[in-house]
Amino acid sequence: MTAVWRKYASTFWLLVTALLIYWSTTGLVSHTTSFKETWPQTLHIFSQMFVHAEWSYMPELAGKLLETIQMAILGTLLASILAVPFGFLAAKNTAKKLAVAGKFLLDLIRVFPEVILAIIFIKGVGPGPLAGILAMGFHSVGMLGKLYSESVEAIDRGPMEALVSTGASRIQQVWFAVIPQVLPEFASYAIYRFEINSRAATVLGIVGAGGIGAPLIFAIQARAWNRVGIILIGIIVVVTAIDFLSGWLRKKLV
Amino acid sequence: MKPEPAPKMLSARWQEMRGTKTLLSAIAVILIYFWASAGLGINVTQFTSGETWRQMGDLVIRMGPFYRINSCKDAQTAWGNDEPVAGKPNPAKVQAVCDQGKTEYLWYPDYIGEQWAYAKQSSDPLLTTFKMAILGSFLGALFAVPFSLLAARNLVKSKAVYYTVRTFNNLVRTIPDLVLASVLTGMFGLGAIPAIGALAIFSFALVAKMASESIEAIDPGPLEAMQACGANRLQQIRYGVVPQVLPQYLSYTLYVLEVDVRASTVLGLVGAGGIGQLLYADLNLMRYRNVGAIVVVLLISVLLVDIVSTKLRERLV
Repeated sequence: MTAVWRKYASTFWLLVTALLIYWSTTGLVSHTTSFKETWPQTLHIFSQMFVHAEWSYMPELAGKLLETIQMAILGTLLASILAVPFGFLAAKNTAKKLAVAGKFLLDLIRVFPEVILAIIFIKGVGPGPLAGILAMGFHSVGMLGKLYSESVEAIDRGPMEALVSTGASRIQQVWFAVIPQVLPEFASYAIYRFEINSRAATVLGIVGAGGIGAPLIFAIQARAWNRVGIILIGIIVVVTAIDFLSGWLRKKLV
Repeated sequence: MKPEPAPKMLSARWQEMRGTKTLLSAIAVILIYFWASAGLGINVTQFTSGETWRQMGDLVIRMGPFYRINSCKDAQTAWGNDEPVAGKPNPAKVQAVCDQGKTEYLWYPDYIGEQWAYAKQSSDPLLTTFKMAILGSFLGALFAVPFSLLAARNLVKSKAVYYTVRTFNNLVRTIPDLVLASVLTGMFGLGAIPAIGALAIFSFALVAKMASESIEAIDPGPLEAMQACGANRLQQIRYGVVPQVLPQYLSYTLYVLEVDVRASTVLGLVGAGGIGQLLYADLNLMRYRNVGAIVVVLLISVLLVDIVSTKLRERLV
């Protein structure tokens, strides 16, 4: 049995995948017209977006992009603070049996879409950047907490035991043995999450949570493609710059 | 061989962390946070007001099976009939609603049945969401193959090609999925096709980046051996690269599928179909009990996909 299975396993999985993909193509409703008809229009849209981009929108765009970055920074700050207790709660060596529950809780937070969180927060604090910051802050706890817990699990027990043997208190143990080990990694993960959040922040405005998303969705709805183009260019430039900066910073940290 | 440098003593690391460099970076970080919070018009005092919390709580509670009594008239309909909605009328609560303008929420089990029926109804759009995610990740992963090969330093001799493809991959990766979807729906109309396109582009960028990195990390031995016996480029890739990176490539594809399922729940916001669209329709119409039902369906299905994909990936790599 196992020999036969081993021989045909890859064929079997290939077949399953093919069937899955075939099933996915069935019954999809779409209101698109044929590509042949839309082709000239698409070309027109692209030329509007990138050749005739609305450069005069730059000053306003810069302000909105800055707001987006500010949101991402504050959202990440909130998350990186909230995630610390979760990180220790979900680590096997600190939370013992509770760790499973902690991990599940983090998974649950992670699957809750940011945009829905943003809508809930908008209800409370009104539309604007604050709702976006809160949404990112809570959503990011899922991933950051998980990464934090992994680096807490990977700490070296040596320094901790040494401190215990000298009679250090619990707080002293954490302060001198745990924090120096995990802090650079925590910071590195937070910066990585900032990278992701700066992307998410460009989207949150679509539901009214501040940042560049709102002007973008208005421009798309109004089919003002030259404005859509300049906004897209702005997003690409900013996100690329943040990618580089965050990569450089993280290389220095760990 | 050189001996590995001794790991830095923790105490030394601690000393280092307390140096002036750390102080300066801490000041820089604080300044960044100050800058970030400036000019956003954030009013933190909102959180001291009960109204903020009441509003958010109201939204969350209304997602559950609760009967909301907001006015004297509501209290009448809830308790005034022969068959009261939620148990016996509570005079204290009636008074609180009528005289003090309070809002009461009554646990109402009948709504659970209603929500369950709605959740079952939403299985169709949920399947659409899965279909879009599967197609998106499949197409994206497929297109990523040539681009990841061309963005691997150890396979491409020409620096121009390497940097061009790599830059292209990185640029595509910077566009958020929702932005892609909204631009594509603007171009091609509503429906599943633009959503699949957006997911495909998004997955393409993710897989291309991760796969090119693992191609760069392969063992050069088999490649050199084949070069030595005169294999051509395609043969080298087929027998020297593919066997080494295939498990990782498949693992990335599964990961992207996971990300796509999560993303396609949100894509409905811009009219891309699937369960996301149902969700936003209910949100706009303020049918919060339906929203609650969908959110639970979403949580369960995303969690399931996460678990299955994680298990499969563990077996792969």
